[in-house]
Amino acid sequence: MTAAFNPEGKVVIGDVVCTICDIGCQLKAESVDGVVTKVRPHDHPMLRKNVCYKGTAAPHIHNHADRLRVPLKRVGERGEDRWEEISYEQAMDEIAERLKAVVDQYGPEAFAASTSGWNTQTTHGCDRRFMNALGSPNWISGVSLCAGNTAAVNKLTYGWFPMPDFGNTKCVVLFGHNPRKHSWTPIYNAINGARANGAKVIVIDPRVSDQAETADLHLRITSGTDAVLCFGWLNVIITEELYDKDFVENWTVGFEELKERVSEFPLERVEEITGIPRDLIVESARMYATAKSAVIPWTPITDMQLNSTSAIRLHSILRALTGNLDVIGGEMLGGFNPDYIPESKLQLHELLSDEQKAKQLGSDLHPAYTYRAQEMLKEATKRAHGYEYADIVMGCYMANPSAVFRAMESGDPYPVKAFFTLGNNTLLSYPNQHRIHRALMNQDLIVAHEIFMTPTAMLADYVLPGDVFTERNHVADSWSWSTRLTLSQKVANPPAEGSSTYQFWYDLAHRMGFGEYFPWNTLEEVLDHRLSPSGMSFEEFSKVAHMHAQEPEYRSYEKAGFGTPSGKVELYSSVLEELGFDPLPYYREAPQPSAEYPYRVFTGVREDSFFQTGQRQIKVLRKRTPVPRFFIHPEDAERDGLSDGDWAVLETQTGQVQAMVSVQESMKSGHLRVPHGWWYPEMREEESELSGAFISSDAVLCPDEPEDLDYEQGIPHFKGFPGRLRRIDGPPVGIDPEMLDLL
Amino acid sequence: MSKEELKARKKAERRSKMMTRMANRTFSKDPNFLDRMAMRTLQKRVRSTPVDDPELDHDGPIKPFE
Repeated sequence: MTAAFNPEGKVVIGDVVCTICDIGCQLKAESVDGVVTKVRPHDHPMLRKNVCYKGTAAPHIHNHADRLRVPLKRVGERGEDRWEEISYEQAMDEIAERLKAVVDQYGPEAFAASTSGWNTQTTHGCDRRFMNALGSPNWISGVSLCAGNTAAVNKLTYGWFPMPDFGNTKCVVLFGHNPRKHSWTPIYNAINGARANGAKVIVIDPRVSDQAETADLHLRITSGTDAVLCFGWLNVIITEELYDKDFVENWTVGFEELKERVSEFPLERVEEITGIPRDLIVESARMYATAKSAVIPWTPITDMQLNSTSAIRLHSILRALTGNLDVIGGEMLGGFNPDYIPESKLQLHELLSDEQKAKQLGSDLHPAYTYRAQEMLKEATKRAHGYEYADIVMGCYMANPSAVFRAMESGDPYPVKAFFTLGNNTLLSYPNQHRIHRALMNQDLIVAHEIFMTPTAMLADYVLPGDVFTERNHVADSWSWSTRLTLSQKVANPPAEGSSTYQFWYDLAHRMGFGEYFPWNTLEEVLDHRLSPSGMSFEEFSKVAHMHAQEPEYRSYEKAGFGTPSGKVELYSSVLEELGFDPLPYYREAPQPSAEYPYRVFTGVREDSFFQTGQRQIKVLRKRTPVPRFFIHPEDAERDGLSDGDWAVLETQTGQVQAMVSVQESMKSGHLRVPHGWWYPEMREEESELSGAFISSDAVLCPDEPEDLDYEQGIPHFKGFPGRLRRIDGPPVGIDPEMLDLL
Repeated sequence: MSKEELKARKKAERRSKMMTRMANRTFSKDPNFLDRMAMRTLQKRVRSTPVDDPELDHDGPIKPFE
């Protein structure tokens, strides 16, 4: 219980960290008699602009009539959506018994879990802690496609995942990233702040995005060719000697080898592949390299390409060569906040035996973010960051999702028969949705911990109601990405039969016989433990400050070197070489459009109104984006006989989905953008399968056979695979008529 | 990097650290005199006005599990 929370009082106001999306704005929340009534901007001058309309819609979400309030047990066939209500205690007893049976029959590796640190705010590392104590290495997460994988690949190059110093930078490079007023708002504000301080902005995006409209330079790249543009920039930077010679000489390994690889990318070739005029490549490379300081912020676009590992490494290499690592206005290697025990330290990876780690699915073909690669950095990580399993954004030590779903479906290389999903609509969150469906249908036990009934939860044996950010206490550190600690206070009551993710793992561990690894009886006791280095309890922390920032430390690598085997920035990666991969970045061409499939399909597009697969049932948000839309250029629309407002089917070699067509001059010809995560909660009452989960979900479209994936990480090519459009008569049956009336 | 550039960078770094210390004072929940001074200084520097964005408003009363 917190100082701010008073169930018998009238109005309670607290500082909260919003989790409607992944950016974590600190806001103010108000409740009356334990019911959240308002979420509004923070009153602190540095924070008050960091708010979007999703955040202020939180009371509509947290109090929604469809919010899960009671544990449900499946009574019909799997996916039939027939349930009986049971108590939390009964549900946990039965889940523990059934999980034990799976482990006894198939071994602990037969248990897999998919969790989202974004949606549940934190797991305090306890999902991994539970799995490590049980003996399963098969944890997957959306962060394998988004930020977490970037963190793991950054770690291969210089041991950490840097945070841009927007406040002091003189140049911002956005690779397809498009923060907006109501999407990634703090980053949008930070970019505007940098502009106001004189920073130049370079946008690399096929279309004229919001950020591109006001950029100093806009490079309309062909989607999926980021790595080649980076080679072009390096060509200019090395040829014109615009790199930081002292840093390269003293703090990097492999410069000569890199130089040779870069020479394979003359500007004519870069122009041909990327579609960017060479003059613009040169101008932008000079602008980036000669800026007093510059940042290439994380981008979800480079995360999700066939050349993802190379492209991410090329970003890292650009940062290093231009001397922008751990300097003011550059990219900060912050490390952990010394006052707060990081999640990765709570995960207890040391409990999992080498034998079980070796069974981690996907580590054979695509090891970059699995134990196999990351354990090779253990000693270096300990030297540089004080703890051998130091992790950022939960991105290391993950199993590969595609490999996990293959094992769940086929039993190859071994059976996976129990699957838990917490705050993660798994079915729509990874590539090849039809395979995921088959995988889930082949389970002995599925448990979903959710706030709403989702298509994935509809396939579960047990659905447990979760809590939301206004109903729990927390201290956020951006999953160790930031050194800032931000207070989030409980102001409202969770459902009586609801639980936090910590409570769930705690209760299950005690039932499974390894409760000794979960000694903290409440969430507040976990927070007390995590804050113990500060000498404060959570209660004390919440009275002292609503935020605390760690003073920046520059050139921290001078103390103990970078967290790599060489202690330097590995332009030439010793880890990748030892694993049998090309130790230098390279370019591999993705399948190209053809006469049959003329579009480059770009999936994963985020709409302001929603985060991932959530909020389609929240009317104040859904009314802003009533239906999904395909975005295409007028030339393509004319060729295909499509007009703005038509409905169409998009077909790829893997699947097909429907949406409304939106014809926009801002699109690049030949490209087609598809929004992420669409399903239709209103179809739950209809005959539609799993609330229309297969009608408009972009996860249906992208293939994930090993040859379709990035070699090192196993990342699918979400950014530019072939597809074709065909007009259909009208919208899918079952869409809420109120939404159609808004079109 | 020239000596002048290095000197300027060091100065900027010292300033950044000082700004962080000042910001931390402004996050205090029980501000003392120095904390209030820091807040006044920050308010002058940031000049951030309260958000007036009609898109942030969502009409309708909120009831539990409405």
